[in-house]
Amino acid sequence: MKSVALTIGLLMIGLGSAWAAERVAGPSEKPAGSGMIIHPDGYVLTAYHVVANARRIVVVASGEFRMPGVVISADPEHDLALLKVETVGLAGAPLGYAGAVQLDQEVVVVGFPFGLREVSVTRGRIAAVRTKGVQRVFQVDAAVNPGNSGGPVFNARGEVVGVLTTKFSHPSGIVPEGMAFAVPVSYATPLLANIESFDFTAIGKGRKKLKESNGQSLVQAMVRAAVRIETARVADVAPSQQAASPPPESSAKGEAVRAPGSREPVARGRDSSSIPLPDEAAVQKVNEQLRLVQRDELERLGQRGIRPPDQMVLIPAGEFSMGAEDGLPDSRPMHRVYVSAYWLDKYPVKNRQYRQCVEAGGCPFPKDRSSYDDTARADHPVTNVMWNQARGYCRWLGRRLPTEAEWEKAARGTDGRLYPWGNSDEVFKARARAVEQQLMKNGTDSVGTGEFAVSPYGVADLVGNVSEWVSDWYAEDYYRSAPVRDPQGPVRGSFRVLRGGESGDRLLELRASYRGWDDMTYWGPSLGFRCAEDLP
Amino acid sequence: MVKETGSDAGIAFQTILEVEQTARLLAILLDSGRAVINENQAPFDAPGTSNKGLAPDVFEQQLTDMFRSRSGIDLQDLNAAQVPTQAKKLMKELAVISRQVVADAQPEINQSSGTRGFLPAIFGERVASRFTERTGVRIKQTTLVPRNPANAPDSTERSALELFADPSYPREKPISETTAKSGMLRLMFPLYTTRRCLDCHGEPKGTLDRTGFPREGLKLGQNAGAISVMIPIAK
Repeated sequence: MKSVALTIGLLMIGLGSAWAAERVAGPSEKPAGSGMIIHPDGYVLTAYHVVANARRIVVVASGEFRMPGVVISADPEHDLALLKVETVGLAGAPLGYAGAVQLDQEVVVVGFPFGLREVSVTRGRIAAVRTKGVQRVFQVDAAVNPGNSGGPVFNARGEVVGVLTTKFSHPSGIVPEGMAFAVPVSYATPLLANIESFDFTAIGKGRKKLKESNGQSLVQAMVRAAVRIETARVADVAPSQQAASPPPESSAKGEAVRAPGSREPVARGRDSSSIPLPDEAAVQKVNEQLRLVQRDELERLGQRGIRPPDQMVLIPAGEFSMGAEDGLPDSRPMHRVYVSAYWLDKYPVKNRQYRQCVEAGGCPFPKDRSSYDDTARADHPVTNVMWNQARGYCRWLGRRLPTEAEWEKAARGTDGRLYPWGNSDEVFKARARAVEQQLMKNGTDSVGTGEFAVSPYGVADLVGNVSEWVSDWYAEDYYRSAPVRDPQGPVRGSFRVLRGGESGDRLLELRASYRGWDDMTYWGPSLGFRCAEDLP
Repeated sequence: MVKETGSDAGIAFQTILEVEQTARLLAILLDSGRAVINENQAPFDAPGTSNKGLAPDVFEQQLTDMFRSRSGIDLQDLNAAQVPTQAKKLMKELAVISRQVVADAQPEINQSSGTRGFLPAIFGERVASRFTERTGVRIKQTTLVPRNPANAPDSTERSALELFADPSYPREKPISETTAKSGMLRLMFPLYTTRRCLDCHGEPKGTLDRTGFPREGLKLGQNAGAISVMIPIAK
């Protein structure tokens, strides 16, 4: 149900301009929150959720002066948004240095509570600093109304030190009275960098023009910089929905805002989620194309005297769709990634091959030798190796572990398919039934027996045999900030990524987009690896 | 009108950020030590040898490697690290104590019959209690249903553990609070069930593991508790 709503939301955004043309009158804007002018050229800082999903934004400055606004830059993670209005000479508030804000310090909260026509000025204190998930906030003990949200928190010198947010909840789950949360203004720095003439050196220098800061004029200055923000939301114009007030807090998490220069690529790669999965014929067509490109590329390399290393497959350079929209949170969003050409082992490294390295003194024994020493399993993938051992073996050959992106591209080609063979669940189910009939073997299969699971490039055993170590550190949110060219994974982490579901896994874990992980010192009977190599 | 508060009156946000970084590094360091002990369980358990190969020097080297890979910080060269001075001092102390605990446990580790006693949690508890005695910074391993009643969470810890238990909570992101009232930073650093944990803490739930405790039925990747750090902040 939720995903249906999301799709409708996306459709409507796509049709946004057409709608606007058709319905000239449109719905009227409703108060959505507060904000603050932070630059005389018409820049307004507010909370992201105040303007999320907005079809139209109106910034109302003191004296009921109404100005249409657009989102210049947004940071949904920290709940901040920078708006621009086409008016100059506005009275902006100076920014303070958030690092100097002290616990128990007095602050002033200014905003426009819902249901009141007038601005409210509330005093409070900084009661705590809290960190939870990706958010860090000041806890202010001041009674505020949801309409205040997006509004400024001033220090005693009248400098903005925080932006009120309602997107933070107290970790205990209770909502105590008279408590508000504010995003430290320092987190707005990347947004402010979009303002060409913004003077970062002025931060924390106080107000220039107010010489004798008698209290009254300071409060007036704070009030002048505060603005009310009104929006007409996507939900308000949906024919199936009654206009509701206050506006719903965007079930679609505001993916609607496509701001130029947006810090987070809010809608990156979203489009692919609404495209139905290609059918078997389309998959075969893509396979043919990929093999054609691969063959041409191999020929070209051949002309330069470059031959594929033994038992390695060429994956030509190019983009592919990485991740999934409907999988686990760590594989979202689906996004386009460019990967340079590389060689990848056709099969996982076998016991037989690893033995050569051990006997040459280049590798330590697997941590458990039962499978390694079993001569009947010489052609099974080597298992019970730690990440370091896997990397060590590849280095011994002058190779390396593949990156997560390289593994996934080899496994699913360019069309965003679910499994190496396409999108059919049946393929593996049938296979599982067959295996069950001959009783499950001891964890691994001889390499190359999973012919059904050969990827479009001809790489075998990527899913359904062993999980494979890759070079990247694991970070759950990596896809949201990963580079679009040859991503190498986070700089550091606690766990290394494992790719490729094991034979006993459920379908979700057999998807090419599935990301496993574990301690780099872990080893087990279902953990193996394969190597990659750069093109010369 | 609002009164200007003196610049040295309270704890600054910048200071809190530094102390939070310190607390996080201490949690990673303690967990790195736990991981090294965990990694060496197999030789501990093997009966028949009287030298299990985990001499204090060996441990220290493995701890250094593990911590470097997880934090990017070299314990042998702390002066070069881009971290607050307080963090350097405390990390050094924690590393020294970790080594001492392993040194003191040598007879236990090298029992020729195979030991069942020197587990990651036992190591963690010994290190934490000595560390608290010496530095005044409290470290504690806690989980919602602890095997050791002394590790039961207080209300702040419980709230954080309940959030960690929600699968939608972002992985490896700590929860912290510094209140004006307490003048102390509290940080909860989440831990996760890896494959290695499953032997003792996995399925089938309720059956006894090798230490005689009933298994918790944890699943791979599930939150398995947290390291709680409490650092008083001088004004």
